[in-house]
Amino acid sequence: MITGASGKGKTTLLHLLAGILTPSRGSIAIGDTDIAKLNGKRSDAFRGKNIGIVFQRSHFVQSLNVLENLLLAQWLSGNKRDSIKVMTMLEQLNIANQAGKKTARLSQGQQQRVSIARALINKPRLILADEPTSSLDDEHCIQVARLLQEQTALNKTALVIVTHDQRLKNIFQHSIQLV
Amino acid sequence: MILKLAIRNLLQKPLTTLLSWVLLTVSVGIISMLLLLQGQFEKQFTGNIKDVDMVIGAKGSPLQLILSAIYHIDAPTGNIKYAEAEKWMQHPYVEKAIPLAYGDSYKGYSIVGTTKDYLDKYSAKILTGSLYESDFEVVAGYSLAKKLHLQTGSQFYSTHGTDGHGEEHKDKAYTVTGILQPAGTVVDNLFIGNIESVWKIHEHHHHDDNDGEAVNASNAGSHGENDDHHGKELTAVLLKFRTPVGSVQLPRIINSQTNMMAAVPAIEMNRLFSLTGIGIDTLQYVGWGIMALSALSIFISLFNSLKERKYELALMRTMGAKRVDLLMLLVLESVVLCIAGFIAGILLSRLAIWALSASFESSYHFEIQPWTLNIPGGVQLLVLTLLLGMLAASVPAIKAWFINISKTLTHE
Repeated sequence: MITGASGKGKTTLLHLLAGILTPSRGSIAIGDTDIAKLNGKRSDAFRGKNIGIVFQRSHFVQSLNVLENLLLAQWLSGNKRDSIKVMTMLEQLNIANQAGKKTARLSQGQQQRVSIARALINKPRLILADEPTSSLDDEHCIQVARLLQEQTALNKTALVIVTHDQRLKNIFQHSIQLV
Repeated sequence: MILKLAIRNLLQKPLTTLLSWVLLTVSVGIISMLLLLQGQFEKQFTGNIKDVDMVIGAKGSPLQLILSAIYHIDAPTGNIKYAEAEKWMQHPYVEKAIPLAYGDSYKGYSIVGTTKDYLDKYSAKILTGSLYESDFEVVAGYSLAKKLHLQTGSQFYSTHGTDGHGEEHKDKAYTVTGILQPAGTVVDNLFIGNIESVWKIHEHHHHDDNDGEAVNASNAGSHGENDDHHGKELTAVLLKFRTPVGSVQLPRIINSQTNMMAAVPAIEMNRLFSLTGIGIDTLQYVGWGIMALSALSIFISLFNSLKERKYELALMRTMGAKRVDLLMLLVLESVVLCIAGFIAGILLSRLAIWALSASFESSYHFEIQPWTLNIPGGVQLLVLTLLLGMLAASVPAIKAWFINISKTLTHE
């Protein structure tokens, strides 16, 4: 977990890790790959395959429903579209009954769960979560945090959370503070 | 998947999509309808003047003479003396001359008295029955026989004039001896018989019908083929020249030295096309204008939605979408819309023509096939529509290409 006050560069760090931003100097290694050296297309492909991102406020492709959004994530990462896999994932996260709904019609908590499902669907090596709980109430905050913890453990995925949410301190022990 | 996403995105904003689609449909519809009409119109008209280099008739409007003598969609200009016309029919420059006597009709369809050459010229073949043998026997064109439910053996009285409201010639009935094969020419809508029938019908008409009909003026009693053509009258003669010199010299001589008129179909039809062409051109400009408008509409809706969807597109990038994928997505949205508009437009034009064809048919005996697969200019129109779609999508697509993911994601 990476904490720090606003403006300290938490999100910038996360974007660097995700390969959305390229560092002007130095290197960032994920596994054996120096993602700072990847360019354009290869960076996109690497990100799709190896990194899942959860944002503070969930955004989806508006015109698609929950199931299709996850299928799109599979497809964009270069994997086969597999709706059984997607449904299993939704089952695990307790939102299988929402699969046919447009994402805009879900509650905040449900949306965040779909985001987690989307981040996990390709079994990435790394999950980056940017303020995943800041816009949730206490109850949902704990739920989502637990979910992230469980699922990443289950999938053997590394998890990096960037947040200033004090509520998460009790759940995640490893913490780096940016000052 | 991108295609599916593109279609979903279009359906996400049904009203905007509908507007662009309707504009495209209307523009493609107008343009393709005009192309089809013009194509078939000119094909029919030029097909019928094949092998007619010049038409001789009574003085009047040359265009009227052509429209009546060749297409039978106008009233005759008047009559000419057979004897006078014969001099030119046997002129050395003339390869073939076909005399015509017309002016009577049955239910609006012209009855043409002529020689067998006329049938040969249009390569008209008998479908059922046989060719006419004697007076008051006619063969009927395929289309009119179908429409008037005529069969071999049917009888009818001809009507004076071509509008179907004239006085009936009650004393002599025509008999249909045969139906012609469909030919796609003017013959489809004509009754064809020998000239003598037309002459004889009018022998007993001694009232003053000088308004354009083959009338026996003086020699009422005599029948026969060769000896007494003198005094008989014709409505028009179709001529084919042996040499191009003929079409330069003869019309001038006939027009200046006789009281007959010579008209060259090619010239008159060009004049007609250039007149109707103005109207068609204007409508076509309107069509292109609407098309430009629809491109603008697609552009604006894509551009506007891009502002809202910037985040969505950045998100897709974080999920591994390449720049090309986003570019494809936007271009596809536009192109899919254009193809839908194109197909609907083509259908619309066919429907419109199909709706119009009945009225064309009855008022001009002009048949159009609305369901022909051969769409004149269709390929060019499709290519143009697609180019337009890509053009409309280009600016939004380029903007999507250069989206800064990090900035877009942080400043929602």
